[in-house]
Amino acid sequence: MDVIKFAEPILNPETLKAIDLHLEALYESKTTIDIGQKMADVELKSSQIRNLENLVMSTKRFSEIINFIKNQTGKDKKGKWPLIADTLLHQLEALEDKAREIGKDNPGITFEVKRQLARGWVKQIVAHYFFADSKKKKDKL
Amino acid sequence: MKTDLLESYSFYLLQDEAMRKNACQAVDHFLKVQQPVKNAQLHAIPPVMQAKGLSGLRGLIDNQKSKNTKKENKKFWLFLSDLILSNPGPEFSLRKFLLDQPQIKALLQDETSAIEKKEQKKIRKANKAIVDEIMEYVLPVYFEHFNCHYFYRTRQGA
Repeated sequence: MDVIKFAEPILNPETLKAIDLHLEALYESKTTIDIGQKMADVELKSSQIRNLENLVMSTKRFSEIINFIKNQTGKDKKGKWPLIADTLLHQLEALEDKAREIGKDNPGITFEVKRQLARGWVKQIVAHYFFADSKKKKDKL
Repeated sequence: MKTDLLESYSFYLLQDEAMRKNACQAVDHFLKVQQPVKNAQLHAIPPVMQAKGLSGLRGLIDNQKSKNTKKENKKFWLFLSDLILSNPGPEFSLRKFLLDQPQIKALLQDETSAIEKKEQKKIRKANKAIVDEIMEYVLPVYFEHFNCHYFYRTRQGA
């Protein structure tokens, strides 16, 4: 995909607050904690988690995250991604709906809100994955 | 005008959301009515498009259709031919999807505004050229959606 040739929109404080509040709510509802835990339980490798994180932090297109998860699921012969893919995809669709709600009818704002929500979402998942993974390793000792 | 559209946020969101849904619907429709093909069939698409664009894809589809190959492979390439090359194509075809978008409709001239047939033909040709150019632009993302959803659905047992 070509690089977007336009400047990224600047979000106003009200929009930033709406993003933060939603990310806080996600954390409190344990949505991201549970999936981070599940990723550790199915023993996804840390490199796979970092790949997902790097993609989310660097991509300009939200659907690239969705397609990454679908692709990983499609090629996973060990059957780990298929155990978590539906939950991840469902959460991403919910983020997309929330971004449309926050961005109202402004496509540029919606585009940027989607990116910010995805970044906050993945940060929470990754943090809990590494916490759960290290706990699991300690328990094994 | 066309460049403005292609570089706009609304068009970017269109590729990200509505076009993704359209590509996923096409995959779901195919898997509902046909036997799945091996992933290797789909792996051929992105490099051909990257190298030669829409004309390369047209060549690949025509070539695969005429090959003496498995029946399910043939059906898959016939399906892609309908989806991408036919004009306007079935309900879920890419061209039909693009033509239904108001921001694309706004770029096209009304054929009926011309009285002479020769002039109408000229408008039709110009409109087709605009849609072809937009298709050329969106095809890599379209097939990213299509292929990834296909791999996902077939892995989940479709």
